[in-house]
Amino acid sequence: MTTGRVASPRSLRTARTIQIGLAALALVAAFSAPMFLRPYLVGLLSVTLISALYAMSINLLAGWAGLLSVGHAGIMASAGYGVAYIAREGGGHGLQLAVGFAAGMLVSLIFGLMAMRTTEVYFLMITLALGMVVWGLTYRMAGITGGENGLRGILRPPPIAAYWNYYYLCLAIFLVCFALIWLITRSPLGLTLQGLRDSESRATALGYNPALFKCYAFVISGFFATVAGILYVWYHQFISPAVAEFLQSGIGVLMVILGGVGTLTGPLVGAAVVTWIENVVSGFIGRWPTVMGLIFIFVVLFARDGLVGGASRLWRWSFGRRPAAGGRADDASAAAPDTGPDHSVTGMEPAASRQRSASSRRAKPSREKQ
Amino acid sequence: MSATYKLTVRLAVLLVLMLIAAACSPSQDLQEEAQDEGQPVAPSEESGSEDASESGGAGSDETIRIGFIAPLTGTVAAPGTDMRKGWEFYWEQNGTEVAGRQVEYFIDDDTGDPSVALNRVQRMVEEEDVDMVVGPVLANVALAVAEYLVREGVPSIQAVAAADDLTQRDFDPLVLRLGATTSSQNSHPAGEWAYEQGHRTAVTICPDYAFGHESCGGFARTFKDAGGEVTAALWNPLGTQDFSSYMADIQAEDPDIVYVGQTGGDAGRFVQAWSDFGLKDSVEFLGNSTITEQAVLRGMGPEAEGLKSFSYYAEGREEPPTQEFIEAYAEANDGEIPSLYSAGAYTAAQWITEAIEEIDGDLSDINDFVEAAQSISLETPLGPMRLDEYNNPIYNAYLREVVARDDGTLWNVPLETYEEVSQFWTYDPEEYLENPVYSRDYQG
Repeated sequence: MTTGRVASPRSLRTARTIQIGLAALALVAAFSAPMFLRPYLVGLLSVTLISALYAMSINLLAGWAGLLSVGHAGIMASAGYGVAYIAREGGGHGLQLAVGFAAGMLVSLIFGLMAMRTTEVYFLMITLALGMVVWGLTYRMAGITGGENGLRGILRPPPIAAYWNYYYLCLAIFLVCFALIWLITRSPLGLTLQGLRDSESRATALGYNPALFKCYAFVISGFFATVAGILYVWYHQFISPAVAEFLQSGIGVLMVILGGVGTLTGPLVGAAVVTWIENVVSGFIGRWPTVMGLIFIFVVLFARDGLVGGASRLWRWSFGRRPAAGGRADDASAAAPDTGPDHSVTGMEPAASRQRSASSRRAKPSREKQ
Repeated sequence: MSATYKLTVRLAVLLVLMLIAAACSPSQDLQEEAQDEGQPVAPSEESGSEDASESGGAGSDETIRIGFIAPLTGTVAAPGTDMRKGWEFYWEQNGTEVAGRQVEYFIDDDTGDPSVALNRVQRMVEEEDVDMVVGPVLANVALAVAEYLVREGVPSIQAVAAADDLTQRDFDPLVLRLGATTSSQNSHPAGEWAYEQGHRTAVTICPDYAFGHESCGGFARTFKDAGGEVTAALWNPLGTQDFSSYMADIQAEDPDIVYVGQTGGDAGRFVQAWSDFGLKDSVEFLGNSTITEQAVLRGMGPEAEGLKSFSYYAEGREEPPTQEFIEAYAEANDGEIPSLYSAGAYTAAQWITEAIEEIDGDLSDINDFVEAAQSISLETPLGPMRLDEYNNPIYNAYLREVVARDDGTLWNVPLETYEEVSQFWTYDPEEYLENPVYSRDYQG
């Protein structure tokens, strides 16, 4: 919404109307889903929302602070184990919630403190290592975590025990967190993070303390992962070290890239695609991981700004007038701040593969320079 | 950019969307079906478990529906695929008609992840109305799945998973281990046998997770109770690439015997190192049920010959049930000798069939099925089996030795047979259960 964009007010207004219409439609569908879907599918919707929340926490760091964390499963698992441990010891649901929350936040604070002075690939390595430490602890501290067998017998609080009650809880929490993230990205804190992402040296020269803000960002991101962890453990009523595995962190990152890094709705779309391929498509196609792989390759090749970014570019190209430069996602024009050309997700991957999978925005400056 | 081009792209996008919609349609048919059956359309508190039990009470002319879950992709895909082969082979060989009713089974992939497995099993119970669920492989997946199924009132049949507590401290009548044993069940006779052979000091080495703790724990307990001494308990991480430091540790301890419990790739690497370091000629080796298991043995050479181990399955057992099974299976699978996982799934299928025949195919009260499964004793490829009061098999434990067959393939031939082995060995079940489950800290 700053420089570099020439879009007529009319087309902007139309885009807004369409967005609001779509959002309203999605909300109505989400709220009425339990009326006409069978329990199993409603359960899958809950799983989708929980995964989306988890992916959103990764996206908050990756999209707005330019820090790609591959250890978020550790935070989610810590919160889950906090709840599960208290449940096993016979504690009430309030205590479970408190301990789960405290565990998740404590771990994200530790992660934040350890990682705050690093960027790019070093940040990635630190979060990877910390995630693996949590995973190792879940295995080793068998007295608390039940070791490889995990912890069972975790009951949901009675008012939300039924599958559809739980779905509405997930939906409500998801919407609140969605709004919070939207607010955070537009707050002075969010803008500072973007400034740091785009040029740490300039921000430092202006008197900002990069390390401090990165730590803030990590803890805030950890808050959403913690919420996802608590919802996860109450949904499955079971937890095991598989939750803390690197694979889980990887899937979270995959959801974000699939949906679109730095877009608000991207993680939701990514989470939906991954969850439904894993659970529904797998019923028809034995080689469902291949389907997932093909979609991922497709996204990386043709829609580097993810499904959300790609779809809105297609929409814009097909129906709207093209903005002069820096065409961004529809929802990004409404919500995500439009930033300068050097908008990159740093530390996303080892240098060799970064070019392939970093968002298209990364590629733009070089094109402009040409 | 021409208008026609744009139109083409728009049409292409529309086409893709339609294809996606078409791909989703089977689930819609199912939905109508489910609604035809009178399921509540609006959410109601009592759906879920009651649905499952109601549909279990379907008339006897309907099919018997069995869910089958195993890791078919991911890191444990190999045993999962073997398990599936054994399961499918049973129905191919014996037909799918049991007590006048058709058996229909639904195979699904749990990827080795408990949360994925829970979603899949939930689908089986809610969408497919299964009468019971067979599987999975991994202990933590098994524990999660079993707990969910018990909550839903659906029997959980464990054909491979060896977690002790499934049929011990977490016992539930609806959890039946048919075709497998607890991890420690084969180790108990091993400890006593080792002492009787005159060995007085032992080193145990097992992977550092529940299965390993339980495998080595069983050996350590009976070996110590007999009067032996375990001088060192070594724990290697799952997926150890290089066993040389452990070999050095074992050489330094210089024990009379080493008890080894390894699985999958670790088993192959351990046996190779064992031979490379010359320990094979100097220290007595005794393995658990998985180290010279057929799936591992296929990839081994002369280094494995002569290794002794304790298991509930001995491919070289001469009795007809075992040999007939192996020959028929080999014929259907390019000459492959069935692994522990195939044999376990096959045995579970056989057990389920005989139990259903016992109650004339009437599954209207699932407890009748459970009681039938508990009451019968049967001759399986694994040997004679029946359930104890905790739904775990009482079976033959075999002391086996790896022998090369005429065609060069390796298999395990029984040297000694321990009959009627219980998961509690010779201990009193109640006293046994007062102790915690075997762990790094508790080795009997």
